[in-house]
Amino acid sequence: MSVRAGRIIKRILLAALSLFAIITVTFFLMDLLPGDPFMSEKATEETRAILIRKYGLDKPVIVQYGKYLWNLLHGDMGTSYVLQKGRDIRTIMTESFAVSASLGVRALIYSILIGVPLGCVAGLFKGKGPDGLVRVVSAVGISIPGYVVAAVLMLVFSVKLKALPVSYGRPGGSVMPIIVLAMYPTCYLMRLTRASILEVLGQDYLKTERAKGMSELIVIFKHALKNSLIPVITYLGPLTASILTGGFVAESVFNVPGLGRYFVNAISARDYTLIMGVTVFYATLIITMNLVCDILYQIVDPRITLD
Amino acid sequence: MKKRMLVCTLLSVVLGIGALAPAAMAGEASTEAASAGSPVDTIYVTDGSEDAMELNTAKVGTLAGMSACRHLYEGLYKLDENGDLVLGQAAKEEVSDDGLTYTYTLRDDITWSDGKPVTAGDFVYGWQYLKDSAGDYSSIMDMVKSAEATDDKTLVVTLNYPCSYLASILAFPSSYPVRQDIAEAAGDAYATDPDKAVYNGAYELTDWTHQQSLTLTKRDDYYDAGKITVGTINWELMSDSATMENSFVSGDVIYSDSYNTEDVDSLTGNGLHFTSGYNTYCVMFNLGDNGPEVLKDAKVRKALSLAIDRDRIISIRNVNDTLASTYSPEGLTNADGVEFNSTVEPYFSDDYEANCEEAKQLLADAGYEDGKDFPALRYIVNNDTRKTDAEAVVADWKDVLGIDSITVETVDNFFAARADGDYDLAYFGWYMDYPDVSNMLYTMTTGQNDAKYSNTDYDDAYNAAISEADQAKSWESFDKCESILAEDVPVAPILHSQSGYLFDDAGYSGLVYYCGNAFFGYVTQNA
Repeated sequence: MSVRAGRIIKRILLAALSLFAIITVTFFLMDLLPGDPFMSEKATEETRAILIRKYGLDKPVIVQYGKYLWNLLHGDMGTSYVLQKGRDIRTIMTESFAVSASLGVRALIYSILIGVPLGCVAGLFKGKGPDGLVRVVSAVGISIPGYVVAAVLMLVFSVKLKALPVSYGRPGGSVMPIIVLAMYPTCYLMRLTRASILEVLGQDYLKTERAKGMSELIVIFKHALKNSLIPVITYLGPLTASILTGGFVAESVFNVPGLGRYFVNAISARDYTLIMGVTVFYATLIITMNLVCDILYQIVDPRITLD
Repeated sequence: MKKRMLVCTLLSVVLGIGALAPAAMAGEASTEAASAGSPVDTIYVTDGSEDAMELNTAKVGTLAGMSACRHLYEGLYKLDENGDLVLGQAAKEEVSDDGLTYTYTLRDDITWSDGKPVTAGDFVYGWQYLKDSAGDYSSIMDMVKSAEATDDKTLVVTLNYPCSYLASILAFPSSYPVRQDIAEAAGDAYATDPDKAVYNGAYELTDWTHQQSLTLTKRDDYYDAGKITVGTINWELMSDSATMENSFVSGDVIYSDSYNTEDVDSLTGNGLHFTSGYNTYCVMFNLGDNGPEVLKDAKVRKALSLAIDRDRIISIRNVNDTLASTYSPEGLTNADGVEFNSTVEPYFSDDYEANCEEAKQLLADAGYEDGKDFPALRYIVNNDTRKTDAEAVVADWKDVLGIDSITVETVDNFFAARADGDYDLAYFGWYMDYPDVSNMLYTMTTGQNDAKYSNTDYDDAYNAAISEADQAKSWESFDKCESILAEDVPVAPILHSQSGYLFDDAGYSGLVYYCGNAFFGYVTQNA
């Protein structure tokens, strides 16, 4: 086994350990939440007690935890108690992730295609017109909360112009959610790329390249850009995980049947199995994306090791 | 429409969205193409969110879920196009002289959506399934002593007591039939997807994109299909009231069960409808073991109730409420159109100044003159709107009675906190399931309320009322229940809220709205 393969296996084992820790902490924290999933205005104490017994929630928390882990190891994540009563958690995750990912991939692509080149332009034209414009746009885009962007878009395009539907399920319904999802990462990528490229442009090795008589285009595109991408890649890992799993605001406001809404709603509803399902799924995705980023670092800069 | 198409197309191309869904566009176009007062191919509505959309009739407990169930299934009774209760799956009803035995003969032309006939056995199984399912309404048919299918078309129902509101119950989703083979095969997943249930109502569920929408398609083999005027109902599931309101205002949907209450003025005359909410909004006092000693004194509770300036609360809320001077809401009438409320002695006079004086005296008699030494109490509510209401009530108690030690708190998982007695005062509002006095007064019987209120005289009067076949005598007993509540004050009724919803009455007619449930099957498009 090569040294690199050994390191990768070690990282994967560490990732599995992290996942186990996250599941454990979440499960016990969840138990501390007041209330239970079966409360409603009209539920009687008797029916509530029957449901608590049915789902084993009357057992000690350590027994519930052991049962959950055992089932999870066998691929059984249970069924939803509240938000999609009786439906398999894996089915819910699969369906909703497909929607979130479909929107997220598009939002991510626009973020990168717009954010990175504009950040480069701003960095290369530091202090000039394009730089000023990019800085203003990115500052505004980062400062305005997503729910404000969503509300304004809806008011203008749906209520006033009647040009786009409010709800995601209609033709053209994915336009506004994509804009809301892409707004922050696009602006953040602009700033990040600009700062990164400015830092790289001041490095001695680029001065050396220029002194050796290389053209400015080669200096920028072959050497400067490549090295300035490392912070961008660092950000892209968690960004990809987060944007693929949707956004609470965009999904709630535009009625998108994605995963993002569950991050908040599952907790509010005390839908225990769904809380755990979302946690396991999201944690796995984040850990995997971080691992992929670490490996990508090494490809971009072989001096970085997985240790 | 052209503008929308153009923008959609442009933005779709730019954002890589791909081809627009032709089916949905065809639906919209055919809706527009329908002629005056004519049937409608497709309508779009929004009513409830995914978590409210329970389509298992034994477990459904939300208004939106019940509305959907009324389209998909049908009981022995149903709502007609006027919102009246008429025989549904039953062709005939025979009642014994003592009012305890009902014999139903089912229609010959009723089928499930898979073509199999609906049988009396499906009702017997459905009612047992209801009891076993531990839903919110598992006990709603407790008046039924036994139900027997003597043959496929005959159902004999024996009651524990004569039940004047039986028709309301038999039109209620919890009483609908269930197919044993389908329910058992699906287990906990029964009715969670279109293929996990069969339907005996006017519509069948042909799609459920979870968290997004239901598609209800008219059943051509439904016995009364000729009266159903809407072909397809696209039922969008939304949780955000601003999104629902905007969907309505933009014309995306023709009905929304929710809107922002601060927009009442702009929506009035533009589709906003108010109808009797069969509801009473109260302050609940914790009389249980966890409750504070001070509230165990009826004088204190009565003083707090009398000091509430109900007109002021109603004007702050600005959603068409009416003042509540009894626990039972308005709109509960007998065969002669007499309101039950009109037979009840109001809990207090309409002279607020006089009520305040009486309240001060009662509080002084209880040992808290001018609010002195009144202990700190916690008044819990479940959302910001109700917090505003509660703060206005608390302000009255401070101004009138000098009590400044009551704080309002919005709590997470409110219903659990209230059921567990983790409060001193709390919001309480009961939305009736069917318009019969019994449904309201039941909530104050022993073991059925979070105030932990228990009074055997009240229970006896309630049981006497529901066991009485003669409505006049039944109402006399219900009147007694109300008088006991007026003295005991386990809750202080403040107002009767109205059910508000948005419906495009400029473009459409025929919406049936009943106790918070909407039925769209009779909707037609106007000229």
